[in-house]
This record gives sequence, C-alpha cells and structure tokens, in this order.
Amino acid sequence: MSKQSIIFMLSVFFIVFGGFGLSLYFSLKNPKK
Amino acid sequence: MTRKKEKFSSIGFILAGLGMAVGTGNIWRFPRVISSNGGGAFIIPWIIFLFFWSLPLLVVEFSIGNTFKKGIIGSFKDGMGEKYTWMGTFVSWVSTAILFYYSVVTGWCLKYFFSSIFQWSELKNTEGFWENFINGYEPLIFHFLAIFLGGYVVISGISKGIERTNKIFMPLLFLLLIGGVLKSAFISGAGDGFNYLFYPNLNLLSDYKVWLNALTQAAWSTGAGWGLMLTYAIYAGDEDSVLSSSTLAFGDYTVSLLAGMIVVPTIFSVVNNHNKALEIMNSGNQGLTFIWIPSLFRKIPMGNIVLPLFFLALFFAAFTSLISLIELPVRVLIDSGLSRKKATIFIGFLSFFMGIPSAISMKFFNNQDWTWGLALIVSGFFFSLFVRKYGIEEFRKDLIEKKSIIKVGKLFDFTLKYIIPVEFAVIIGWWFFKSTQWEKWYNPFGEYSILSVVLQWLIFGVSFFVLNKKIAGVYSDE
Repeated sequence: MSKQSIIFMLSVFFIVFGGFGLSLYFSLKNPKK
Repeated sequence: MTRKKEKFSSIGFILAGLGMAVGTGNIWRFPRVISSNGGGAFIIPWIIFLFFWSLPLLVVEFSIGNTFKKGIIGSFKDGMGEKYTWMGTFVSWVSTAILFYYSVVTGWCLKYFFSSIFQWSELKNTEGFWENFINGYEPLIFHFLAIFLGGYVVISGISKGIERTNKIFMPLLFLLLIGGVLKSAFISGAGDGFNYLFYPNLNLLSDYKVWLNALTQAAWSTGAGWGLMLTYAIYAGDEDSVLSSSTLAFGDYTVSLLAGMIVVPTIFSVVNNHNKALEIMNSGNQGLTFIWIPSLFRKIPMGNIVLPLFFLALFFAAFTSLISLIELPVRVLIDSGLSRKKATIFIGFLSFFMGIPSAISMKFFNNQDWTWGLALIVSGFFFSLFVRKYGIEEFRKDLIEKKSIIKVGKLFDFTLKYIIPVEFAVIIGWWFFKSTQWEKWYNPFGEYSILSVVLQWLIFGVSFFVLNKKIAGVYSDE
C-alpha cells in the first residue's frame, strides 16, 4: 500500500469508526437521563 | 382497548436500529459501487452525504416516532395534519412494497449459506448453479422461509422477538466481518485491493457521477427516509435523538467499510489482474454476490469456511433488516386497532403472496427493486416536507434539541429546507436520465423505464390521495 493510501485509510477509520464508537458510547451512557 | 406498552432497552434499541440500517446494501452494494467509482476518492462525498442526507433524516424520523408514538400513517396525520395522511400512507406503502421482494433476497442469502456448506461441489459451476436456482422453484421456498422466520420474530414482540434476535445477530455479524477483514488482510496480493480501496485520487472528485453515486449509496444504505427508524423509535425509551441516530448512521458506514475491506482485496488478490478485478466488481449486485464471490472465495485458503461465513453474515444483515420491514406495516395495522398477532399474520400472508412474482421472475424483481428503491428518495423528501409543515425551527427546538445534548443548530434548518429537496430533485432526475440509456422511457412494461416507475407511483399515490379522508378516519383517536 502506498503511504498516501495508508494516511487516507487511517483518516477514514478515525472519522467513521471513531464516529461510531463515540456516539455508541455516549448513547449508552445517555447523559440526557 | 388498552394495549400493553412495548419498549426496547437502550442497548436493544441501538442493536435493533443497527440491524435495521445494516442490510445487503452494505455488503453487496458498497464494495461494488466504491470499486466502480474509482476507489478511495468515493469515500469523501460518501461521508459528506452522511451529514447532508442520512443523518438529518434519521434524526427527523427518530424525533417523529419518539414524539408521536404512532406508526408512519398516524404520525403524519398527527404531525402534518389530516390532509396529509396520504403522504404517510405512501411512505408506508413504499417500504411495504420493498418488504415483498426483500424477503426473496433474504431467502437467496439463506439458500447460499446452506449451499456453501452442503453443495460445495455443485457450487463449483457458480453461473450454472445460480441460473438453475433462480429459474427453479427453490426461491419460492426460501422466500416463504424468510417471511415465516421474520414473522415469527415480529409476532413474538419488541423485547422478546426483535430485541432478542438483534442482540444475538448483530454482535455475531460484527464478529464475522472483523474476522473476514483479518482474513482478507493476510491473503497474499490483497495489498493491491486495499491500495485501490483507500487511494484518494482527488481528480475523480471533479466527476459529478462520483458525487451522485455517493449520494445514492448514502440514501439507500442507511435506511434514512424509509420510515423504519420512525417505527423503532416508537418503542425507544428516553434516548438522545442525535446520538442514537449518529450511532446507527456511523455503524452502518462502519459495516460498509468492513465489507469493502473483505470483498475488494479478496477479489483483487485471487484475480491478480487490476482491470479484470474491476470488471468483476462491476458485474451487478447479484452477479458479484452469487456468481463471482462463490467462484473466487473458494480459491482462497480455508475458502470452504470463509464462504459459508460470508453468506451467514449476509443473511444476518438481510434478516435483521427484513424484521424491521415487517414491523413497519405491522405497527401501522396495530395503530388501526388490530392486535400484533393478527397484524403480523396478515402482513406475513400478504408479503408471501405479493413476493411470489419477484421470487419467480427476475424481470419483475428488477422492476420492483428499481421502482420502489427510487421511491425511497420521494419518501425522504416527504419527511423534509413534514418538518417544513411542522415548522423547521419549532421541530428542531421542540422535537430534537430538547431530547439531545447536541445542538444541531441552523445548519439543520438549512439542510432540511434547501439541501434535501435539491438532492431529491437531482437524484430522481439523474436516475431517470440514466434509465433512458438502458431502455425506452415510454415502455410501460419495461424493467427500468420511467413510465413504468411513474405509473406505479401514481397508481398508489393518487389512490391514497383520493382515499385520504377514509384512511385518516381509521387513524382517528376517538
């Protein structure tokens, strides 16, 4: 894999997997309750 | 008659919602679409449209369902006014029409799961196997099986049926996908596929087709605008409207990426020819999934284990979406006064009979998939009209921000008021234009013709409009 692809892949993981993990964590923590 | 209030637990709602959003579109469509749109660069508009179609519509659906506590028809009637009941009826019908053929697809996945275990040698001739299967009587049997199993889950209720099933199937699906990614990462030659999947060729962003395909994928894959999130939100507790919608939207995207990281590198590795691999990825949803994947996956080390597990994951994804598609009309009937048992039995029989033409004719299947798949974009637009009619600012403040720690702000108002209507017009216009390249637009019996699509929309849309008062009467609170 090229360096450019690796950097782009990690950025995508950060946004998508990070977005999923964070929203899942705060949803279950449910600070609204 | 008072009905027992059914409710999801917090984790149950998240898992059921993920089961609803994650479907075959993630596993067989995303890898194909990203490959045919130049790989990595496609991800950029795809993520942008997450924020400007999928996420706002999921938040809107959640807020409507969780506030009005009624199925789509009742919610449209209460939220928009009696005059607009027909719009809710149209949205309900579109997802129900999809249910009729989606159980056929779920049946195919189940059949291929069994075949990849018990008919390993027959599956060698993948094209002949698919032709024999699809032209025989078996799709009908598996269609029945899918509807029967889905109906059983829905009739068992929200917590004992839908929540329990998703609590088992969704973690298993994630485990299977993560295992699949690890496996594909270690196949020799997979690097070329990973490189293609994540190489950001930014020149491709000047191609409007990449943007339109990304918008279409964002719209079809997450289940936003289908009314499914609205239906599940009826049974949600005191959840955060924005956070729970984000979980489903990002979770859906996560599954798409994982599926892409299994399918694309594996195909690139086995084919060992960049252009041939891309040609295979372009062979259509069914061609890729039921002809090429069995043919190529069996050539990788431990293919006899990987292939059944791939189809098991596909079945889990399809089945959990099928459950939500059954629950949607069942809830609409429950609102009209039927018991869950009677409503599910009725929808089960109706779906089986209405799905028969799709199970026995690919031409009919393709026509229905095209007609109602496009109509989902109309449904999404109707949700934006709902918010406009309610008052965008009031909707945001009263229905969303009161139930969330996140303030979506005026960007939400702008998206609902301008961006979603423009996206609706552009997608419909673009796909109608594209369909004229496949066949004559005025053929009323064409698989993909504009006239066939518009006629079917009008038949149902106008009927619901004419019967508006009668339908609204069924959903009156008295």
